[in-house]
Amino acid sequence: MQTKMISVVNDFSENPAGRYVADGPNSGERFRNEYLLPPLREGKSIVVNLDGALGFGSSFLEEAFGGLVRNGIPASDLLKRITIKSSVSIYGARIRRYIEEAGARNGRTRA
Amino acid sequence: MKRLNHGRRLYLVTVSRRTLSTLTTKNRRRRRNAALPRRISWRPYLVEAPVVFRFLQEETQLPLFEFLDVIKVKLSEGRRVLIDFRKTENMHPCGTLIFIAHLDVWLAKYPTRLSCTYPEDDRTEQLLQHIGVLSRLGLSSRKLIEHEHVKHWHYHTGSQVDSALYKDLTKSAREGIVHPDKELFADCLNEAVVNAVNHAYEHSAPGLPPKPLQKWWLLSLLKDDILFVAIYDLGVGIAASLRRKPNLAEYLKLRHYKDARLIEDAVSSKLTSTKMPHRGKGLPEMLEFSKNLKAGGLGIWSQKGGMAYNAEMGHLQRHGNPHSLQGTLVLWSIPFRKELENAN
Repeated sequence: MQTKMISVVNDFSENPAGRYVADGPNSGERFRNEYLLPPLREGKSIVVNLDGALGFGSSFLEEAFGGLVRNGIPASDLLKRITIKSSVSIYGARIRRYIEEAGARNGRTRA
Repeated sequence: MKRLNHGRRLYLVTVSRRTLSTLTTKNRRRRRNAALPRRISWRPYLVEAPVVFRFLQEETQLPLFEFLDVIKVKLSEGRRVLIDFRKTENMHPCGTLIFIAHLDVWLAKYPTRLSCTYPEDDRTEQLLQHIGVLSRLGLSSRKLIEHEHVKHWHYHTGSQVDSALYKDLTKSAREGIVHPDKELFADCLNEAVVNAVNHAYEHSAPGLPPKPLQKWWLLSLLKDDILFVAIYDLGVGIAASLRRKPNLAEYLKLRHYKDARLIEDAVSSKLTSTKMPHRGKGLPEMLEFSKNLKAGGLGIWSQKGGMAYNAEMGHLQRHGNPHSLQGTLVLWSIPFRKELENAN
């Protein structure tokens, strides 16, 4: 499986913040739609490097990664295909939790 | 009945006609004057600013709110207003930010009707000059900004979530604050701004500023090894936002809750006005960050309630607010390593 490397600060913005595109210029929704969804839909794995950015916030991370489940990619699949690289270890744990919670809600909604 | 002679009859008719004419003229004048707008005095109305601009203390909160109310009323009456800062000596981030936000709205609505005097206190003049209040009210800068308690104030405002606007604050805070996960300060700051953008003006309500002025305001201050950060919006408030569109069960549960209880629930759990389970993480994230502080804390105030977390005591407490605060004010105090700030 091919792997796509994504650096938030080099590819997207040094100042990611906010949930929706309407919130601001560097939102989680925009990052997900422009940088995460395309390679995932092509069947690739992705490595996301979070270092260098001036903070994120739960709104950004949940919409970017939890939103992938709401956009139709199963949580179990995402957990295998997404790798988070960050010197702040808590980001990896939070992103994993957002994906799992979105998956659990999706399962309850579908059932 | 006595018969009137001709002369007497003529006299009475003449008097009656004159009286009727006078009354009619008076009525006409009265009606015409009532239709005219009242003459507005062009002399500015002098409003004395409080000695202390502070929201968090009960003794100084009422004078601050009364000061804001008088200005608002006089501007809406069509008057010009002269803000008298001569006796102002002490400006805290909380009170100053509330004033600046209101000033922003007034200057947009009434661009030529506000002015001010210079403060007599040197530090206050430096501060008002440094954050741009004096220039916006038509006064020129006279001072060098050199006071220790002024030069580390920073002011930002915006209507979107754009962390580039306050990246200097984020960078210096990330370097200098005393916290095991200091990188997460920026996350929390972003979330406070997200809350203002997403929820403060979500629903229309009386008293909200017009759309172009539906913003957030941010002040930061480094003083005595503590970084103070204040974020404010002029929105509907947390409790009002949570009470919107509740389902019946929640409505019955929520309607007796005071504002302070709803604020505490929003901060310590995932209670959110959107009712979406994947949202509502911002305030709990800020509280979680604050719980790892060794000193300082977090306070969130909105309408008639507030909650304050004291990091040293490890204690979260609800407070009732005797005077309703428009919008939401988030106040943070975080220990800071001063030698790094001085080196910068």
